Amino acid sequence: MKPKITIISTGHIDHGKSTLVGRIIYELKQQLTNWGAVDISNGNFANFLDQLEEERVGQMTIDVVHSQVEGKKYQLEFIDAPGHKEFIQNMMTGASDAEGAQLVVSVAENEGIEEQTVRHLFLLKLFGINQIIVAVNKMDRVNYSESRYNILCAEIQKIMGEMGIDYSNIYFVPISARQGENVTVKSEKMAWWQGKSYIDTLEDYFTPKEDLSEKPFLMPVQDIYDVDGQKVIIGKVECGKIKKGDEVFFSLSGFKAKVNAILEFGSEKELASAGDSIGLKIEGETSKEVTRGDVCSTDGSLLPKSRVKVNAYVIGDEISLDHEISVRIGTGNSLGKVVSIKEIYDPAKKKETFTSSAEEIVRDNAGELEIELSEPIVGEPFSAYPPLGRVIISSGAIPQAAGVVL
Amino acid sequence: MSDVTTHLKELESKSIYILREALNQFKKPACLWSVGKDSTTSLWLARKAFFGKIPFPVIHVDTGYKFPEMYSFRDKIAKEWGIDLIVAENQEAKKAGMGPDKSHLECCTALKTLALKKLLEKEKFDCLIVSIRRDEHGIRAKERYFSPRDKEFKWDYKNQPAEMWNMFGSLSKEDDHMRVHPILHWTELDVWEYIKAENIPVNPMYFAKDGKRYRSLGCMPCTQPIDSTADTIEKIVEELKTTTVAERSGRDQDKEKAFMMQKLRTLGYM
Repeated sequence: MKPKITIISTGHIDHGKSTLVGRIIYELKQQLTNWGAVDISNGNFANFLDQLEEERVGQMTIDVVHSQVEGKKYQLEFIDAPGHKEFIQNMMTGASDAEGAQLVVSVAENEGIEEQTVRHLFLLKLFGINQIIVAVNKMDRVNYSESRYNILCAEIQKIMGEMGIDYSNIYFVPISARQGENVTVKSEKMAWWQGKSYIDTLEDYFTPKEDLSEKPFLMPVQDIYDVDGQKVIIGKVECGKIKKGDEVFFSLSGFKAKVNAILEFGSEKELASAGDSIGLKIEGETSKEVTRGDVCSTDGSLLPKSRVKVNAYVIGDEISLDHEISVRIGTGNSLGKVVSIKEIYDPAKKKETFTSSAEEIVRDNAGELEIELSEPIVGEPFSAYPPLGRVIISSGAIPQAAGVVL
Repeated sequence: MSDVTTHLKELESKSIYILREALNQFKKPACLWSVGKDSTTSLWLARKAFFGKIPFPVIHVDTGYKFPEMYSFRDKIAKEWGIDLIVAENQEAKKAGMGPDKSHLECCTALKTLALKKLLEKEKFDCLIVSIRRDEHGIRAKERYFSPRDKEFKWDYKNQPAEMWNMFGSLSKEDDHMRVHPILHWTELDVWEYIKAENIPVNPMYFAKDGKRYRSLGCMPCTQPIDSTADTIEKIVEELKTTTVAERSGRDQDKEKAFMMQKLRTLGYM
């Protein structure tokens, strides 16, 4: 079995995201066996992905769809995301699952860089997705012109530069998804293109999920179970390894203890590593104090915080100063209120909309929020500890904003 | 570890995490069990997640039209695994003559969706664990791991809340219960590879007899076997690697008309 890479497909509406994924599925696998016959006679490859009646009739993707194809090196899972602003929360749902992204930008007249092109790029950067490949699509609409391709690439690089995205590691490939030019096979119509086909470039460039087992041990506590009369600390190891006899710290409760046993159903393990869902029995009575939201690690420096600064993007109702919100980081959860809102802007129109501080932040704007928490949470800068650096801000049950700890 | 083992371990670990979230976040969860390979796999995962004892009731929605082998398999496994089994039936609809001679939309909705709805009204479960997979059907590929439903069981697929990283959602005031999908990210092949690796018991109807086997199990009148000589798990795995036939090709309700699955699911079908 080939290693898997999950790729979010992004870009402005109608630039050909679903058509590209549909075309790849069609050329690499011929058909998506389980999803029934699809009419592609008009080059409507998007129909592979757009399975809702409203999506086909309206010719617009509404929600994300996951599909898998087998490439030469990897099992490729594409998450096709909608390109309409209204469905940005669905794009973020998809992006949070991905290791890489493809940004589809149409080179056709009056298309090029548009609002969602920029917004999606911003969100990829916010979520820390730095494996990006740009599909310069609809080359057939500009007679496969090398100069039109180069002009658009330069414009995209300029925007990336302004957003602080290092584009020296970002690959650009000219394609026509509808006509099937340079998608999985090199195009004869673009003899000037020195690179490989789109899918070969993607497979050369993208790497699977980073192996986190060599990092220091970290496990957010998910629950506490009683197994045969003994307390067992439940969690999924996010980073590193743990073995019987290791000394661990609990950030929230402030305990330090030795691991007596690592449990899986029916057996005890000597060692667990990143990705494993396990149970830990620890020495002494200390486990009584450990609760969900605590963080078990070999690093004594992770401490709970009653104030966090986050860089967030608003997907729902506006967030105002002093308004009660609910904050989730890892398995930690607390009510809180926003005490300051700074550096606010709409990522698609940064220059026109930038404000240095404000009383509220509205939908589709990003900003720096400082939040006072009613209960301390173990949160760390995303750049240093990704599993403890992702934040969801909700009001009631509905996520209103998402982002990272600064 | 081989690549397959690493891959299955990753899938298993995520599913266990999801099941544990379901138990932690909801007051009264329950798991749906069709007695097929997918939900039996989920029950196996639940035994692993909760160290042997499944801590919530398991619901079998019984239309009365299931194969005899399904009932015997159900009762045997329920006993062996110490399952707290609830059988949900829509007796009234059956008495009133509802059956497979009606349209699939009517029959599936009455005998499956409504049977479940009545049970939920009575038992007030706030979380239903359902073993659908993205690769089964394009509509199911749009699902979230945690997917809220209202009192009418409506799936508001045009307005699903965001679901980011492993931080799953909770219920709002308008919601009736959460559907939790622990094996959403698995493929049919993954399920069989896992059944093989873990030696999970499955209904014998999946194995070929006289050149036919069932690939997906449903109600007797609406489920047809496929042509196959795969009479062992190994052969099923091999068959799936090369097949061009859809998993649910033997299930009539998927074929009746366009967007049938969307319509059924909008009304609360699994």
